[in-house]
Amino acid sequence: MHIKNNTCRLILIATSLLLASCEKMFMSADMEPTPTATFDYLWTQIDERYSLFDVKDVDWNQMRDSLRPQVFDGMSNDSLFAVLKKLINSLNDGHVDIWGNNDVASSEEIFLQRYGNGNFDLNTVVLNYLRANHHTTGGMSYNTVSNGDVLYIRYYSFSNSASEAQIDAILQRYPYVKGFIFDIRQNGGGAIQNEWNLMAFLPNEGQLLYTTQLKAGPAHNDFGIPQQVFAPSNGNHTPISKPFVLLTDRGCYSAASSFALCLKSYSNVIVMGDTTGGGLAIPAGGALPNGWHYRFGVSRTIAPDGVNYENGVPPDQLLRLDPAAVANGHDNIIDSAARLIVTSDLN
Amino acid sequence: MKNKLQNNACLIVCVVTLIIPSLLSAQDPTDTSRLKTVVLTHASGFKTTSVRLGGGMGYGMYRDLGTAPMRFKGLMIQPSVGIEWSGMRKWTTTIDNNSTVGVFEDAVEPKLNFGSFDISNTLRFKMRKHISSVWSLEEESKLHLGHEDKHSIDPKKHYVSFSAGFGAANFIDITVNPEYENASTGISEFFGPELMLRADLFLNTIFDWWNYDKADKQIHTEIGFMPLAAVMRPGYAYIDNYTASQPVLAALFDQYEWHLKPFAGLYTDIGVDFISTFSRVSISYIWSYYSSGNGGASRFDHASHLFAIDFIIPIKTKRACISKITPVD
Repeated sequence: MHIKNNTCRLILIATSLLLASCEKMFMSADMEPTPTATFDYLWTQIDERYSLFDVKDVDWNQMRDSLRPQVFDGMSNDSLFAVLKKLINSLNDGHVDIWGNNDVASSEEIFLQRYGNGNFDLNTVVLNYLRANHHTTGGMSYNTVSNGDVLYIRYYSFSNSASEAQIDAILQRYPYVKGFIFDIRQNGGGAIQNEWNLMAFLPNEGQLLYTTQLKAGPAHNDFGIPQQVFAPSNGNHTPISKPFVLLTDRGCYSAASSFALCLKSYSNVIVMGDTTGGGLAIPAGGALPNGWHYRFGVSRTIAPDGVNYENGVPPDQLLRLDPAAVANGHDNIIDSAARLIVTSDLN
Repeated sequence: MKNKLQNNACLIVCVVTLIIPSLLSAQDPTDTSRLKTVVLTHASGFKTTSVRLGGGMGYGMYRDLGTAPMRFKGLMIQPSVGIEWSGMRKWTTTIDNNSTVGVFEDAVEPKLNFGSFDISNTLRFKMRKHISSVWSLEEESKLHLGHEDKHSIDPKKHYVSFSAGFGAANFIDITVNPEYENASTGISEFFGPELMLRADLFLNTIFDWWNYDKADKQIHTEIGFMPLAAVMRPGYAYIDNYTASQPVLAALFDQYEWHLKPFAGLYTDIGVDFISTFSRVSISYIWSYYSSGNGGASRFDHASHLFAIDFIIPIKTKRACISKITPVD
């Protein structure tokens, strides 16, 4: 077969040109990193992917109509950041944040309810209940109260370790107590795995804990297949059958709220204190066209009673911290929980 | 900086583009009547099994519209390993595995240090068949072949060989952006058949009776594409529902979605091979591009521009049948 000189050259040149091609031939250009594009992108992302509009008292279209005119190309980063902060603040959601060049925007409402409505006094707890001779295992500090009849466990954050081995070690140390107070007030959440580790020591009676769904489409009520979640297996642990009181307040957020919701399904557990801060949804993150970052919830959690407690899980026994008791060195919530355990029919 | 690197890459490719015709021209008398063409009519020579070890460095980018509307760009390195079975003028079969690791930056706000990592792996099986056309570029093409004249050596030749093939490829990419919380990890998977075309320019070929294309250099160009691929991407919410209390492996891909995408993958490879008997050192520029398509937030694009050096080392050679080359005037 004879191939002409020019033909071969053409084939080689064409092939080489193809080799020199690049992805720009196939991809659209990136979105412009302008303030208007950034605002529109964030508004649309939340509109199409945020999972909690049905429990948030906000008119999202109205928020766009009122804030969009304040955004123009050429405005400063600080000004744009202030507008975006107003936008996300309207959701009153502690899982909605923006990270900018030099600042972070978070829900002011969640901040105020956590620190303005706290149901917890750290000094009182540390000095008079944990005391100087307390023990610490993993992320849990503990000591007995009520003359050694009740074990008080303070868990500061679900980001701190609470492995099954650590929990087991604590329980082994106090086999004769009449019950447990597990204090997660002001616990802002963390790793959900620690929830499961703790629940492995509570009696599994096959109870439903909650139903969870992920966002699955752009409409506000587009959700995927609901997945029911039941109490985890006790494995080789002997479940705690004694009274177990969980202390909560508005500072319990995310995994701490989720833990409170789960424990309401256990027959030997009483949730005492104040309504939690909420934040049951799973936050997903991403970047804005100008390089800033955001996050917001993309799931919803429905309790066995059919309610979405995204804005806070109510306690079984509502009890506020009494400033007069605190002034006398007492935490009236811990005292009430201890009395409840000592006088419980479960003992 | 990144644009400059990209421009340099394109410049090098353009230079190579210009060099190839120049090489041809250098050997190409203006009087085409002096050209001779030979057709190789029988497959023969040695069957060789070789391993390929090498690596590359270059520039890459990805854009995952599920989490960000902009490209992430950066440097990447690629170790690679492969095996090749070749029978001269018969099918050449290769299995290659290339892994790339890249550290990428947000192109818009690199000063925020919102970096990301990109890890990808390409496993490619391909079989290509020589198409028996040879273009002689030199005036003298007198061949002396056969048992009786095995020491006769023809003057050096340059010729182009075309081949085509098919195979299958699997491309998996993991992007990790720690700032994205539960959406920090995105896995994209492409799997499908591949078709490819290849042209090889053999330089200074020596014809002898048992190893007729013993070139000392070879310039290759190859283009391959996936006509149809199965593509897996994170679902609408992008994250897996870890609150669903599933085992980790079950939850990992629970929300992922599959779809079919025509022309999901494309690669091109241009380079020069320095040949010593059955061993080769191959220096290549390789461009690859994968796109999940499917529009909207689920679209993922990934591209890499790599300069690679590979050592193709024979581990087994077996003499096949005697060459038979038919000269054609």
